[in-house]
Amino acid sequence: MNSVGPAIAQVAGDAGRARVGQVAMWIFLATEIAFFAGVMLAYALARAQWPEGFIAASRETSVWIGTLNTALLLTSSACVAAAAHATGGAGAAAGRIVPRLGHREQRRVLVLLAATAALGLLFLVLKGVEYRIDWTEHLIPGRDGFRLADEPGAALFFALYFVATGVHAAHMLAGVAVLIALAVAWRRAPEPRTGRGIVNAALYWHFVDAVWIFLWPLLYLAGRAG
Amino acid sequence: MKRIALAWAALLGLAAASLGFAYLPLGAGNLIAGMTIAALKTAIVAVVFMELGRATWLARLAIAAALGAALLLAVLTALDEATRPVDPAPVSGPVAGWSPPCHGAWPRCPSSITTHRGPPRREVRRTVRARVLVPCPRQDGGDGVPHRHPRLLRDPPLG
Repeated sequence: MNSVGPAIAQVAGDAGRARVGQVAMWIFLATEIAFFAGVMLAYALARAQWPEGFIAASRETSVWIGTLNTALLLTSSACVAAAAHATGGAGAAAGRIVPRLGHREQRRVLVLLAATAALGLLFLVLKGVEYRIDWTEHLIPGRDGFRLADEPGAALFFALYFVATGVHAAHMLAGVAVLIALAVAWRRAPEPRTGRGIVNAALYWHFVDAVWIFLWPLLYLAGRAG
Repeated sequence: MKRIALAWAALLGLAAASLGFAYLPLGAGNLIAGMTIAALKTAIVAVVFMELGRATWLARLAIAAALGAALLLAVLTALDEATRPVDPAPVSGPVAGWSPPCHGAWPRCPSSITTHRGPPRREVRRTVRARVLVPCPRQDGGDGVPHRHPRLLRDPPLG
């Protein structure tokens, strides 16, 4: 009888902590929305000012690498969503009790996390390749010999392009590191607490995906028709 | 799991549609189509992948507040842009032959000028493509090369 009280308190405490953790992640994502909204607004204003320069500059970006990266990121998002779903999804993160996973399900979560991290790393490698192409084709604003120096607004486009994609890549790198750490922790001890961590990490990964969903048409697809 | 697979297929299909629309000559419609599809994809990610509907009310409030703040930022910025009397100067990288400012030798020379304080917005928009670089009358270094200030722009004389 004496052991029931502390056990209930522990379950209630875990549930409370889980809920706080989930809300904290959403609040963090809210601040990230404010940050990326600022970057996209800067883009919108500058494009309204120099539409021709922005379209000319956008045509110089590598549309196929951008498109491939979009497919990779959408697929990685589906993988981490499946991993989070297997560990209990939003219900687990909100502190609801989820049934204990079997060995096969535990392994599936691990494989999905590894696949997500691998796709994220591939995205970053392709981004690096793209930056290298930009460098060799003299598309770095501020560098001597910038190819579109005569086009008003083109330098600003590429400044925004590097800021937006660079900050996004930094977020990706952080997400990959967290996913790898969680995969290692899950392999050692596939317990509900780690599962809640996976659900929160998945929220972050989906947010990074959502940011790219907007960056891709703005930076890569403008001016392709003409 | 089936729901996630369906959402993934829908996202890839919408991405392909976005790419296809980008190559159709729709004018301003290209941007509208791209942004509409992006918003649709984000809604799928938020509802199916992030399970926003199952999140606590506090989490939903946080996201609603963030989106509201972003919308307010957009509206106020657009108002500022619409009512600003002058255009900003085009940003450009260093140009070969650029040299430091001539410190008051000529009132219109300083390279610190970064905004075009010229005619009203509509006139600027009409002439922006025709602007020319203005050479500074000062000669530097005794090599006979005109002192140029690439950031200082002036509309060409009428007629």
